[in-house]
Amino acid sequence: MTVIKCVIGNMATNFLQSFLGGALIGLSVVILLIGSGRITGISGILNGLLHYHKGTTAWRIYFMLGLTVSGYLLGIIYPQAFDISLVANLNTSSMPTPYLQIVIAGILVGFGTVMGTGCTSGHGICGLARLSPRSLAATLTFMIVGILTATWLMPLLKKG
Amino acid sequence: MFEPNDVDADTNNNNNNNNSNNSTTNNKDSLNYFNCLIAGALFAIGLAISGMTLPEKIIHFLQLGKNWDPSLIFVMMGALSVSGLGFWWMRAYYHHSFLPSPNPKTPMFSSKIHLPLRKDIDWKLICGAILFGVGWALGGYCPGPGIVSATAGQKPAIIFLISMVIGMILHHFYKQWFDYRFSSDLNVAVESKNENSNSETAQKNTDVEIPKH
Repeated sequence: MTVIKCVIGNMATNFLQSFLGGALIGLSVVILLIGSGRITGISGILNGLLHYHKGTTAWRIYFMLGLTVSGYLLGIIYPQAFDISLVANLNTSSMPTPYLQIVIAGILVGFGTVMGTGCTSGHGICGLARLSPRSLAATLTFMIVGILTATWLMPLLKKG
Repeated sequence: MFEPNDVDADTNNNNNNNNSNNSTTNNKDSLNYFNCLIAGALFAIGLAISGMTLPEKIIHFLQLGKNWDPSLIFVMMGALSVSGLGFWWMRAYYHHSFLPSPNPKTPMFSSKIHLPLRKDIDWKLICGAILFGVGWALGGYCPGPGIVSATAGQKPAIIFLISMVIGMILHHFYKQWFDYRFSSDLNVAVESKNENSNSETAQKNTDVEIPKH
């Protein structure tokens, strides 16, 4: 009985942490919206930096600066957030992802987010919060496709 | 997506006193940039705390079966509840007929709010989402966590980030070719060949003008 309580308690703590982390993401979206009047779509912000357009580049650089410097500092003080081998209770029996798969994944994500004008932060968080039909369609699509890919395609890739 | 050059909507003060307007604009710009910095920092911290920077967690969510990890649902719930309130308060939501007509508020450190106004669900959106979904599952990273993990020193994330930028650049070449090949309007075709601009998107992604109160 106590084992079950421990397990459920652990799960609850983990889910609470996920919820609070999400709330912090939401707070950052609100801060960028109310302060700077911008949508927090990471792929859009990054894509905008690939061209120079006067008036839209500076704020993107500052946002990316905040993102990257925080990432660097978090890598030092909170490395468990990035490296699964430091987190004990997540059981993973899979080998690390082959580099070719990561390269293909990156190219697909880069190409797809520009074509689809958004990613999980742009369409998934901002778009859904704004009740945008485009974002609803996009989010449902990439969620379903992601689930299908992970559930069916990837085990096939592992066998072959 | 990017916007064309924005004209500062708040031009009433320009005629009165140029000096004070310059310093006010400079102060506002600095505050605006600082605000973007803070937003970026909080975004990274939120990603790290919620565990979204662990690709294994994402893959365990997308891979239905044993070891299913529903954490992403809780992250989305947390994010949507806060940002939903924010978009509602700013009146920046997408307009549906059953909602009061939004008249977005002016941001604190900027004279303009930039909201996507496109209403159409076209094949590019769906195709892009499909490609993104496959890549997301294969790598376990999406753009935000990819950038944050890369700067935290994770080698897979660094490879992902470089590949993602390559993918974005590939799309620009693809779009140039596509517009040139399939556009019926010769002007648009020539434009897209000459400059690296996105005139089609520029017309549709308009910025919302804040009416004077």
